[in-house]
Amino acid sequence: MEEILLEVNNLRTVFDTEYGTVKAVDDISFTLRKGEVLGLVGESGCGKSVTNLSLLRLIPEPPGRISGGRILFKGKDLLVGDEEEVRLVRGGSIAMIFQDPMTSLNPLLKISLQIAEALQLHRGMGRKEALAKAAELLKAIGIPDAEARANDYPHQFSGGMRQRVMIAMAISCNPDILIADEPTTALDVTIQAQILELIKSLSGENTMSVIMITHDLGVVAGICDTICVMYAGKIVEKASVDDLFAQPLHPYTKGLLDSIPRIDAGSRKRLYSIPGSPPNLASLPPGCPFRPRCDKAMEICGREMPPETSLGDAPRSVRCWLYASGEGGLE
Amino acid sequence: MGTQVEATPEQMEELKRLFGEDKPIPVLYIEWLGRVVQGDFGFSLRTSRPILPDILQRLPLSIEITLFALVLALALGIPLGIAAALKQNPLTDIVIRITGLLGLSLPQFWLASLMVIAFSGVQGWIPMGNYISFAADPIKNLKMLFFPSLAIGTGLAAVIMRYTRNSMLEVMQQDYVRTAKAKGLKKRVVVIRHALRNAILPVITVAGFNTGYLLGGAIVIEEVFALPGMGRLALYAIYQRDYPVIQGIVLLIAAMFVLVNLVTDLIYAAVDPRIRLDEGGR
Repeated sequence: MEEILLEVNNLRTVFDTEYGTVKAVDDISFTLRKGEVLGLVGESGCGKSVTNLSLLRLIPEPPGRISGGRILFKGKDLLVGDEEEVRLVRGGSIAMIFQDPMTSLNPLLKISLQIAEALQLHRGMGRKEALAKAAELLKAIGIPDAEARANDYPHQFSGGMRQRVMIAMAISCNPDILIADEPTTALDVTIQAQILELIKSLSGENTMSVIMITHDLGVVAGICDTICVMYAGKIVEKASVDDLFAQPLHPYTKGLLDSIPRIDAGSRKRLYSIPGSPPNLASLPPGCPFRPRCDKAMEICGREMPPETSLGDAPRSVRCWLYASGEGGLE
Repeated sequence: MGTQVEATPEQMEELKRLFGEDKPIPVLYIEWLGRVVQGDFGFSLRTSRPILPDILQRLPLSIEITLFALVLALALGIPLGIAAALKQNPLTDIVIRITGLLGLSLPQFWLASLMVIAFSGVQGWIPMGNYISFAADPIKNLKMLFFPSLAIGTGLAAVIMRYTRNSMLEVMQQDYVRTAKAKGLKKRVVVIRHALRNAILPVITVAGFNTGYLLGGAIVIEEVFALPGMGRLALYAIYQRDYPVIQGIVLLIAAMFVLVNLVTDLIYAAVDPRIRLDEGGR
């Protein structure tokens, strides 16, 4: 097995709001190996994006605050020390792509300059060299007439092209890890496929690890090796992609998979949806946050959060009393 | 006005004919405009001298004070606005905001009078009817115009500060600022290259719009500091009911207003590529 690149232990990120402290990320642990593509899946507001912004300490403070845990990148804790130390990791060893390419590029700066900035900073290139490399990168990610288009401004690019620019920017410094926060959500389906294909091929070529944040299980099935399912700030299930689709364990994961329209199911069958709605993170009920929506809820679920239970080969684990040994009992 | 002597109707008619006011007002106005575009602003009722040369002789000083005031307002307003937006410390923000509110509320003439009282003892800083033109001695000239310009520019500095602060707060939340941070750029680069450039756009609009008012402010302040600018000419014309002079000055101020707005639009286009029409979308 490849070496562990990133290890997140018991990460907690909270937001102090007027309604109280919101635990956006609550005790999350996962590992990322070299070359691995990890999917972080869950509904809107479950803490996926906050988890990833926390990795590079990009949470707006205040109101946000990382209140605990460790983030070990190549053995070094990114949460220790001042921000200046993390700053050089940003864009260099760990790069990010964001959800909305329409607003993620600076409208007043030329495309080439926005890519060149990272190269000048992390690769110590001169301005001219960096601009030339930027044009080269644009060509590599499939922008036609790249040399001329490099001097365009973002508003002259379409959404799909802008996301390609974001990707070019992110991979410009050959990062070890690429964090892609819903990179295809804002794009047309055909463009989505192209962008995913691009990310997949880049991760293969450069042995780059990827953390893919998405609410789209189709995306996950297409490119991920491992999946973490998040609910209300917690990882409720971890599994390899094959295991997860073949045998989902957590009732929430099962619900998610049942909500996917299937081409082989009868057309008259109504599409399943999980009853209820995600809980308010500012006032979580005690116990398992999924309990109010869970059809297998037991008495203990309302009292205590289930521990992480490992099942079978790593990384398979689940946080549900149905699988916890001890007082919860088995099915 | 002392003893009033009634004029006879015949004398009134005679005078009206002399001043060319024996026609209906719209006609008079059109005729006046026709002469103005040819550079003929008419004659002063008091001095009988042509108006335009008198105005043009005083205009450069008023423009200089206005520009100086604009520069001071930008130099004070933008850095303070950025500081107020970025400081984590709420106290800094509050102090800057209260200072800004004061700057906005203090009447210019009062501020100017305070400056005269406070600094009239300091040689060369307060003009005492001994105005030196920029051409004659730039340093003495700028020294002399510093306080008048500051008095006029304080209000605009406060406005610019508030706009910069609000705009900066908004821009710092934008996705592209997060992108810039995620690239690993230094905070200074993120703020200046990525945030400020965007935040400055509404500030340019406000500054441009208010520059016209600075020129208006110059009218009062020139009197306080005894500066021989166009404002003072306007003020005396008003005292003496020298209507053709007032009319000429108002027209010029209006023209400057339009000109400043045009310049603002050009600057805007230079900063924001989305506004440049010649390139357009491909």
